[in-house]
Amino acid sequence: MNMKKVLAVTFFFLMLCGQSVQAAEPQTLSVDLLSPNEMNSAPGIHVNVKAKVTNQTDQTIQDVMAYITLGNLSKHMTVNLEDFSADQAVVIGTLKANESKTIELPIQFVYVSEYYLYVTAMSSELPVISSSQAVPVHIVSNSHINPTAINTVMIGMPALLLLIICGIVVRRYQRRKVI
Amino acid sequence: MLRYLVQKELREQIFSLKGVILLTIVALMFSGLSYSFIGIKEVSSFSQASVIGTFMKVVLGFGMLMSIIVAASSIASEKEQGTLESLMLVPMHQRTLVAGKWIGAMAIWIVISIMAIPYLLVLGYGTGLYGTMLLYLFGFATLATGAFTAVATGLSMLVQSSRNAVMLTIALFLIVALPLFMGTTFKKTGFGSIIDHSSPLSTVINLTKELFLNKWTWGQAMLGSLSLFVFAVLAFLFLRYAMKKLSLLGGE
Repeated sequence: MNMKKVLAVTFFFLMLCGQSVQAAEPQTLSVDLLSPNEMNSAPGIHVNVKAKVTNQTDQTIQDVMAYITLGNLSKHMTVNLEDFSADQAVVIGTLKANESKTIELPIQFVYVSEYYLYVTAMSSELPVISSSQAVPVHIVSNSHINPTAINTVMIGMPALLLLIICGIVVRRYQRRKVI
Repeated sequence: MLRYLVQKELREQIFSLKGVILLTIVALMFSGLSYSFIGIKEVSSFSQASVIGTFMKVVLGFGMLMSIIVAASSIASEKEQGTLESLMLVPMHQRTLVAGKWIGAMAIWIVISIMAIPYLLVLGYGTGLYGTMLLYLFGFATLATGAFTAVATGLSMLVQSSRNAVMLTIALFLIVALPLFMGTTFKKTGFGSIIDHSSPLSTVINLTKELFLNKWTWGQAMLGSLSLFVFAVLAFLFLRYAMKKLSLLGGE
């Protein structure tokens, strides 16, 4: 009886292992992020992200492209890269068996935040996509904006115009009174 | 005579109660926008260059729209009210009349630009971009507004009713502003790409990023604004053409 149980458990365990081996198919494309490693900078900086895309299969893969993804850790969202001028993917084209290509993806960091940057490669031929490891990017504010000065102007300007309106209204009223 | 005409336009458009109320609304909007740069967490993550660029776009959008609406109704409304005939009987050249109307409409843009300066001074503090801001505001943005105002004044002369002139002007403005409403993909391909590259409004708006964020030199900015210069020349040629067609027929 015990032997049966042991066999059943062993069989079940082997089934599980078999499934996990099946799930971990060899990757078709691999992406290595060559640079930058980690970034601490002010907004406005231009960076050329370098990545190496490799075809790990024994067959040619056509129509390969790679693009940047930026995750905003502070807001828990992915970033719309249009503002960062990085929304265009780089078309790599055909990658022969075991061939690698190094690509450069320009990006300009414009907003202050904490990001994770990674590069993804995909092909229209394959349903599998591959991403590189992510690198942390810290864009720190270098703003010299003085809130007190802003408050002064934002209250002062409309107040000044309101005073002018009052002046005009009073003048009109006085004129009518004279007439 | 030109001086008298301009003074009359200024009295009506800016130094009147209506004009000052309009300017107060614009100031309140500038204040609200400035507050959002320091008070709203999401917006306060903008870089200072992006803040200046965003503020400039709002100044340009409001100033230009107000100027062209005033220009579009300037001569057409004189026709409607039957006062154009008496204006044209005054011993002055037709060119002086048109110039007076154009300057009167442009004065709104100039006043809005001057109103924006204190905001820009505090928003751009420490960036070293004051010269670039003034170049943009009183150079490229003023040229764009001047050209659009010239087109609106021209339409005002060709069209008999001010309502039609304003509608035509706004339609034209929306056509050149089309890239602003288009998605990235549409903007970068086919028809969208053509409009985006040829629209003078698009050029002057995209210039904010190039000047303030990418620190373009003046030469680069001039080269990058060729479509704006071409549009300005065409706009003033159109104004000249419309001036020749100006008739004394009454409004609709």
